Amino acid sequence: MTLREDLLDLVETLEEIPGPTGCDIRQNAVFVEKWSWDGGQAFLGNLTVTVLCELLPRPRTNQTVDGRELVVEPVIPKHPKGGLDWDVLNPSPAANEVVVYRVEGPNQGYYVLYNIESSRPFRYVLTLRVLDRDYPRPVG
Amino acid sequence: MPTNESAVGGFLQPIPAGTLNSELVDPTVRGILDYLAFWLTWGMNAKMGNMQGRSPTILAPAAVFPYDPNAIYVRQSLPALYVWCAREYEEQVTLLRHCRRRDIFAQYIFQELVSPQGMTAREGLLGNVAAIFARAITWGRHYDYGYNGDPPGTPIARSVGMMAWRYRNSEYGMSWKHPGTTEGVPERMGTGGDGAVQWGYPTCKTHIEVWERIDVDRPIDLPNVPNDLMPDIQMTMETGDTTESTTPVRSGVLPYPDGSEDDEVD
Repeated sequence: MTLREDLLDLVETLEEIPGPTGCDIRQNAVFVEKWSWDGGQAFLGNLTVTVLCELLPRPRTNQTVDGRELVVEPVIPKHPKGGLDWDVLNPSPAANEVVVYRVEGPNQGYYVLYNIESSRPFRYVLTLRVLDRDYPRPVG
Repeated sequence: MPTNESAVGGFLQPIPAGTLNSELVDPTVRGILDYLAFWLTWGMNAKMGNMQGRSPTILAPAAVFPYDPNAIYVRQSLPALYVWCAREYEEQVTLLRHCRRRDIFAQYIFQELVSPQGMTAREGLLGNVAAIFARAITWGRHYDYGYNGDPPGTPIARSVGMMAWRYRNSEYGMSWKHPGTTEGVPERMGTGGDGAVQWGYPTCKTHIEVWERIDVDRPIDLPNVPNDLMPDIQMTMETGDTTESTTPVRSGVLPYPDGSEDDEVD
């Protein structure tokens, strides 16, 4: 392992401290979901929802642009002992699938991935855009 | 003697007081809204009910609204139909009659779909909606439909007092793509969601022209008041070399205007 990969393992451990099993100061839980329909195309047929993963350790979430965006960080990049890979954060949907982000907490709702900022060595920064269009959004 | 009581199309003047807190309505917009909603339901509900994954009806219950949806439709039930009047112009119809031509818009908005994964299955949705609007407006009636208690088959133009109406055009596409050109949100320079999987609302906006007669004063023949109404005019057509030597060609009557000259709207 490289030094960066060693440190990623340490960073991941440290990021668990603010989480729900530690200080519990990160209130939003973020999940990646895949929605599939049995009709061969999105929104055609019966819906099946599959939770692909929860972003752990629980990241910070900052609401911006009048509540329309949620900046999620840090998401620990993939390393030999853990982390999350691009394929998990941004999977390619089939013709009958869509991928959404579901947030539980004060900023609850469904979001779509808008940007992954990946230039930093120890974190990804995700920008999500809320699918609900009725603003201002209710809290909680 | 004339009276001030009159009308513009289906708009009575003065407006009857009605019951306490009753709505102040645009009768033309309300009539067109109800009429187009009937046509949509009649024409498309069978197919919509046979497609799973989104609304089983072409319109959600009570999702018909007499105003411009702007961007607030996301707060209301979908699929929905909106009808509103955007502007109007004065036009002269005859020497006596004027009318107003109104630009009325009908906008149909479906539930959110995803592009490209979810587009092919409902690719014909908006084309069919526009086709129904085109036929409903051009045809002007439905044999199973009567507005506001009128017998089925009554032309909607007659029911709401329109002189005439015409289907002008429709434009349709995805509204409020997300991520993308989100209304009211400054886009990041050079992005705007280009190339992303996009969510959006399929919508069809149809332009309708409506003509409503601006009525003249309505005459009242008051008792014991001579010459309070314009009388019929007796007219004789004659021919001849001079005014002293003529031969009658035809005699007739020019009836006075009583407000019913151009009631036919069919």
